[in-house]
Amino acid sequence: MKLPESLANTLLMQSQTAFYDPHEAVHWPDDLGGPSWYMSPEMLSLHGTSWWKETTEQEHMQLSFWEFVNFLSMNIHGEKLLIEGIATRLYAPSLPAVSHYLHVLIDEENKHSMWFGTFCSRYAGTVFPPRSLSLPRNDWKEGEEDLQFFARILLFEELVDTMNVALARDERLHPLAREINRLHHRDESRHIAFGQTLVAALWQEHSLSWQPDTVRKVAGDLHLFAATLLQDLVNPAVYRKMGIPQTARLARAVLDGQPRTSCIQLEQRMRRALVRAGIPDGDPNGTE
Amino acid sequence: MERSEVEKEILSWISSHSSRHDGGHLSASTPVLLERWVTSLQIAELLLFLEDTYDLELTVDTLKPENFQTAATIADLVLRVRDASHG
Ligand SMILES: [Fe+2]
Ligand SMILES: [Fe+2]
Repeated sequence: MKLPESLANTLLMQSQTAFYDPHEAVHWPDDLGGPSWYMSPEMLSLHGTSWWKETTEQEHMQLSFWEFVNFLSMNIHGEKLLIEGIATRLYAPSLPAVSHYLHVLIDEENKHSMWFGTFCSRYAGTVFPPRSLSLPRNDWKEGEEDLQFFARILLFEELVDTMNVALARDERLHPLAREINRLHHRDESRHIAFGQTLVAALWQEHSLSWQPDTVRKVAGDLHLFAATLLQDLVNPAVYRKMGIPQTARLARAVLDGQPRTSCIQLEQRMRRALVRAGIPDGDPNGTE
Repeated sequence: MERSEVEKEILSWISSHSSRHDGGHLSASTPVLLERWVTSLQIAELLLFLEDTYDLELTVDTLKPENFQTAATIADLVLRVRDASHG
């Protein structure tokens, strides 16, 4: 396989130049001060709903705080899976050339999760638990497990990074929220460059040996995964914190309703990353 | 709340959300995860359906594959959590 070894080396050098101490990188104030935005209002799950129209700006800001905590929690759970999967693949014979860069990935993701976890525990007193179930599979096609792993990581990072860039730029946001997003983006742009090239190489290598039916199903799975990831941005636990009744009903209504512009754009970004890696928009039913 | 009623509603959700169109038989004892009537990508949606329909909160400790094996085990979970929270 044509592994992105030279790219891994370039990124490794860039990571060395950008190396930082996570304890020094962020200043954590004792408290966050008065009401403020933590996510852009247009990105919030209840933006434009009847709840939004009936509530005050202060309540919208409060919602933005809990949705930011949810975003960070989602990042933590994603990075946990990432670190676990990358650790398993260190020095794997199927990925011989990139192990040194995988060490860097683990280091950087661990630092990110430290920041996210610090914000959540310090200012919210909680990290929202994941609402997912991992189901073991034993029917992988040749090379599919690595491909699915790295492609899902790529989608996750693409989603998070697109949001990081927008949130870091938004001058309405609390400076700490902007700073966390800015710092995360600084590392993630390298991770995405790596992931994009690795996923393209893995797809090219393995999809050629699969039956057309498998190719369609794997591609379909990944495109479906991109759409499903967006659901994590809607969490009844957030509404519970806001004291809103019937949280699950509201979450279902949000997910069943007209998708927000920000979500459509996020999904397009993720799907484009797959198509760039050569993974066509396939069978919407997938295999998983 | 009747157990058989809960099972029926869960089965109806599964059959209307499943991407399996091969005409396989679905009953309360069908291993829905193993046979992919329900996929990992649908779990979040299923949780919301259960929480909304039965007015309960499924905490992280309930999210174990054994609780979601069949419509019968899902119904057991619903009734267990409901009994605990509604006394
Ligand atoms: Fe990260
Ligand atoms: Fe990353």
